[in-house]
Amino acid sequence: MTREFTDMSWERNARRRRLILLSFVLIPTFIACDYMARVLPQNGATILEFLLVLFFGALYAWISVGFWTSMAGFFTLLRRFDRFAPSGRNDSIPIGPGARTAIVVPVCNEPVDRTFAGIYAVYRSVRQTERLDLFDFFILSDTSDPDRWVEEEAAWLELCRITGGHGRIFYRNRRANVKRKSGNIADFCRRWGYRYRYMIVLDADSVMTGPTLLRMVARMEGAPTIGILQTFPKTVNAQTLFARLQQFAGNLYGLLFSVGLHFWQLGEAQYWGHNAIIRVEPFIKHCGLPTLPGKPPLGGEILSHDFVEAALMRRAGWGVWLAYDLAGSYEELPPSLLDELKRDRRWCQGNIQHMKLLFTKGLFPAHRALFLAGAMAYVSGLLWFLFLAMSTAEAVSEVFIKPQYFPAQRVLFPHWPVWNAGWAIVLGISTALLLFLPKLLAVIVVSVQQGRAKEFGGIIKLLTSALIEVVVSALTAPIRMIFHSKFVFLTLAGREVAWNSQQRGAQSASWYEALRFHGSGMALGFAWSLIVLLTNPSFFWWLAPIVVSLIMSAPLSVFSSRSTLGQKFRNSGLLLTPQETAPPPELRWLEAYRRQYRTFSSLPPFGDQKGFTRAVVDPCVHALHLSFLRKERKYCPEILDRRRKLREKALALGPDALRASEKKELLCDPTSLKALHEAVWALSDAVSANRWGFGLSPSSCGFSVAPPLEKAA
Amino acid sequence: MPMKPVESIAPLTDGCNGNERELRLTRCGQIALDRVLLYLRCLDFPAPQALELARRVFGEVEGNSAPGADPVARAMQALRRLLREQRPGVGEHPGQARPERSVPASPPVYRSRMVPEPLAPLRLRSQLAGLLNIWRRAPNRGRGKALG
Repeated sequence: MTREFTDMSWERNARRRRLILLSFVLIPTFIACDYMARVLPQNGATILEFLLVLFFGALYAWISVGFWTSMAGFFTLLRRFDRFAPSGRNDSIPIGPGARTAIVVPVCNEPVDRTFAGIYAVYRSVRQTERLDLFDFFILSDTSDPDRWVEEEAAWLELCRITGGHGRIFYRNRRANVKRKSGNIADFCRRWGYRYRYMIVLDADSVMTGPTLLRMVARMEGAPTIGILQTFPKTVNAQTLFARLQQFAGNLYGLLFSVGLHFWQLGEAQYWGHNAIIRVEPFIKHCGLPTLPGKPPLGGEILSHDFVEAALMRRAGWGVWLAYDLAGSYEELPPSLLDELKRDRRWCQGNIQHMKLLFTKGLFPAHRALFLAGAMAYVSGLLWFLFLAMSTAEAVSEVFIKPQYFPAQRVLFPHWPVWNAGWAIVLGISTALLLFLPKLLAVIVVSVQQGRAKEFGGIIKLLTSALIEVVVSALTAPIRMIFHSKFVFLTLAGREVAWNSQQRGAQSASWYEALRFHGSGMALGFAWSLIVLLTNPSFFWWLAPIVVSLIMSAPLSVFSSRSTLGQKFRNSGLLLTPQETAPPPELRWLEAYRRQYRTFSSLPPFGDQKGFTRAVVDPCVHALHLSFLRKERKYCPEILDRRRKLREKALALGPDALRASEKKELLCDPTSLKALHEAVWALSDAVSANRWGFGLSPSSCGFSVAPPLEKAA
Repeated sequence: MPMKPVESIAPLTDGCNGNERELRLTRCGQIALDRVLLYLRCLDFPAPQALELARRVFGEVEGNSAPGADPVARAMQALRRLLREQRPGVGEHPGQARPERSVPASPPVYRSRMVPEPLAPLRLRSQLAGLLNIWRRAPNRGRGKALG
């Protein structure tokens, strides 16, 4: 393989900085391990104690990386100068007409209203910059749910009608979802990629402002060696308490962390799969993903494709940069702990799969380290759990196994096994510093910057909110530990997970669901407490923060998923973020479009029907859907007969009697769909007709056009 | 809008007595009329045009009444035929009558290839040997540089 660019000016600085990071992480870790060994009764001489020290070292090194990243961010912000900042002079570069950019939105069974409202907000913001000529919008649907598929088509038409975006906003649905999201983007690249110099990838829950999109294009134009420019998206639109806590933490600590990441990574940053601009030509040339050898979950299709694409882009010599200083990039969060954990299950599998790529030829060490860090994000949970389990075993064994005061070889003094509680406290304090000092520094950064504390509700509210966040994150950490341990174990055991779409919106978790998910963790917490209390009660107090969190996991999960509680915090000025105190217009447009879409999509006569029913009954939706399909084809008699039977079943029993796969088969076949359309409109039997939504008289079937959204917004 | 029963589209009334026949006539005609008007409303037809078209539909159905045929089906068939006559060139389906249907959902395809990148594993032995060679050669290189 050949690199298109070599010896870039920043590479030497990057190497030097990473060497410093490595020494900052490893030297204190060795010292802490030595302390840890001395804390233990046998000074780490037994196998159990040796393993304890080993796991402690790995965990200490892991949290040290986070700590020094935040410290690097803090000092860079303090200096107010970053010679490698990707911003600055390139932002004002004039963009020529050749810099055509596709804004691609890959979706898969996502909520239709939110997806199209987001695209509307981005489109409108771009239009305001008067550079709409540079951009085309692509909704790349992998949606397999037949009802949602038709809804997306209708929503696309409605969006085009409202914005006048015909010929600029495009929609396509892929029948075979080969390689999921990465395959979806690759399909776009194959079909239309060479029409564009850049593509900006957005998720279904992303929003980006027009000026930010233009600045990204300008930066790419000004720096021809950049292959991917990733923004740091701010989390917005959280409703539930859990999501609001995450949103607050992301907004408060995110800047420090992203600046720190940029400090170590420079041009070897990661790509998070969305809210990033990509140079299309090298992406097509170098970032095609192969199928990994072996069976899933570790082999097969690459699930977390984004890290791999970044590594491949860099392998070809192109830079991958994190534009931490670009505002106007937003995303949304899972509404509850359960939803976050479900997402983590998928991400865990994807990140552990990267271990297969760790020793791939030609990759840069920084990207190998990123693969390792991605896996460590979940493996650290398992290491922590094992560390705690071994500590408990050590504490319990102390009660049952009599110590040997006089070893076999002759010694002058007896050997007293002693727990050095004082040193343990020193270690505990140093660990706490690594975990919480970055948070304190982030609060200081916000407090000293002019007017920034006000964006978080003022200094008192900011401090109170930060305190609440620290307490809740400490409570949820052991729950995450248990689940992440389980995920890593299941992945290594070869259990595959379905890669479904993420839950969005503010749906609170039910008690049944919470108990089903957290039941085993709660039982473990009870049993763990009981064993320690019965055998070594003094150790219980060391373990209490962990086991109490586990016991409380179901109520914590349910209460934190309530949007009413989140709203109460918001009303009292707590957990506020800058996007809430002064909402950008794009977020207001998004909300307005969403409201209007809901009204529009429920208009009679058939608006309130499911997508499949609308495609069969509503002549306009039916014609629209047919226009998306391929031409009618000839099929073998078996297929024709099966489809005829499906049509008969649909007519006799109504659309709800069909399975999703049956609906999809009919939706994919124009001949069947036309025949069904004509047959349904000819139904004279009232019961059958009602099943297809013919309950309304024409006097009430107003199919009126909604008022112009610009005025409503 | 006024709706009056269409009398001649009621072959279903054979064998009924006076009142019952009247009732069934009204019901069938009403359903057919409702269906036709609903279809036209879905296509965004203005009310006067829709009524005019419905009148023509029922005129046709009256003229060609066949015993045993379903009135709703016949009315819908007649409507589709009339729509095709009224709006020629909009394709074979009346739903394509709206102007935006003619705008493509995606630009012309500019097909190219995106070949998967080979992800060959590192040969650790050769890497190690390479590293050792670098170390072995390093003093010579350094001396050469200093002399040069």
